[in-house]
Amino acid sequence: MDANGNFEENSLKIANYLDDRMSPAEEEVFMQELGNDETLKQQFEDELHIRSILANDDEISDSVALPMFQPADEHIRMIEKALEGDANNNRHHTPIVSFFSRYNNIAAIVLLMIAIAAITLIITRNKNNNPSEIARTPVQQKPTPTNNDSLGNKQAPLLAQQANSDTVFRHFYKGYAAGEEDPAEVSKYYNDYKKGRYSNVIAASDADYRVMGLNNNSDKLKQYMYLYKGLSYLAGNKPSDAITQFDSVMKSALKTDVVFYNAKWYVTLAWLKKEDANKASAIAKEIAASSSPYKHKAELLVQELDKNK
Amino acid sequence: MVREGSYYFLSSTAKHIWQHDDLHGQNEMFKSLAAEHKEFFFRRVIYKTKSVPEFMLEELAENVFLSTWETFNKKGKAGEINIESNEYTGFFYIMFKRAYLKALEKAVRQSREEKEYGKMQSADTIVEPEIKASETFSIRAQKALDKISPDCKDLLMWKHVQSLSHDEIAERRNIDRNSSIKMLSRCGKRFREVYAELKNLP
Repeated sequence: MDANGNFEENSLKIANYLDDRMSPAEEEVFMQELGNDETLKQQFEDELHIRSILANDDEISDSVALPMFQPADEHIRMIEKALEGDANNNRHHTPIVSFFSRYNNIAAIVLLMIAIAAITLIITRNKNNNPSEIARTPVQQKPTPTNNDSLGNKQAPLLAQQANSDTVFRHFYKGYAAGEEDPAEVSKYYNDYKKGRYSNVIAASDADYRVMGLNNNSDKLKQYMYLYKGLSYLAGNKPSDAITQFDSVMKSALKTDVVFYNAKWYVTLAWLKKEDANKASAIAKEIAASSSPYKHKAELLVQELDKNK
Repeated sequence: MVREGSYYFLSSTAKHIWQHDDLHGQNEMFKSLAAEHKEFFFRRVIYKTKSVPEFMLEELAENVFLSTWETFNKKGKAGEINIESNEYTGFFYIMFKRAYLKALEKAVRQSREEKEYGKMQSADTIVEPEIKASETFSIRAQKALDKISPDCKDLLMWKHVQSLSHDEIAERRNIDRNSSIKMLSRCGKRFREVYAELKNLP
């Protein structure tokens, strides 16, 4: 590898280390490399030097002692702030160990078990109501439908539909990833969404993000904020609120805008989450017939819903 | 009140001090903690630097570790740090690492600038940098920023002054994260070259 290649390769390693994107084992290997590779070491310290020059510019004149002898006030303030933020948001959500990611898995398993239990219940009830099964029982009694049975028969398709919608939703739902069209002015809210700080996105008012917009793009900013809010509601399991936000996007954006396509796809998923497969299917069919980038996904979704009808 | 979880970190002496709420012994306890957990935390941050002597690095890491622990302890969070479950340890480690790197940045810079201006420090001497010299550093940084390309200046300002992540910068520039990292590294290199040329800024 040439010097330039090494420089770039080293840059990536250094950025990943500084951004906490390495596992503990990778960090240890990186420390060993730093100890042995003079070029990497020089580059790493160059990076630290630049960070210090630019990030702490206003603190330099106050620096009158070696760093290790400086009071830890700034450090303590940083940790206290982080701990308070941690307590406010999610106590166990850490950059390295996402404890809630484990809860997500547990929740997915629980949902799956509920779905299996619901299907088993439906099958069992259907078997119990099957005349041929009853005829073979040793004690032949005329089955007298109880209130519970009749309720069960009504509930069965509903339960099946719910299980179906939920399964399809989980299959098709993926968090939104910003594209080229997403305005940089509201990237803070996008980042809040990506980091799971949904309440920050939902709480944003027009005044919060309008000031960031230039004269000609305030409508666009508003549409993206509706989108991010809808996405945050959806991720926070509030599909009805999400639908309201996505509808607002679709009312104000052009039908060929990327933000419109995004809102339409996610409103489909929100209807699925709301267990209204028919509504979701109808919107998905519209997407499939359009030139939306979600066209193919929508076709698959319609197929999936039709298959399970 | 100490929770059971915190005992993972404690030597018998430290445990005794903690259990008896010996305020005067806290410093000893923290030192004991640091000694016990060097292996776990320190090997992910300490390396042989070019600029800072090794023993100073260890002292730096130890001081940062102790103040991190003390802050967690004051907030009643130290008991939740448990290497075995790794539940809260990741958060503690990140806090420790960030503070340590911040301190290391300053140490590296101070060491380089002392060398540059011909003032070497002995290990056990605290030298107060001249205020006048310190004040010129920020002017020097500003001059260096003005001399590099506006694109590079933007990128460096976003990263180091506005503290945007590489993902955020990539998003602003419609590029991927790796490209953002590479561009910033090249800009950083250029900035350092210009910064070095401005050594004798009046």
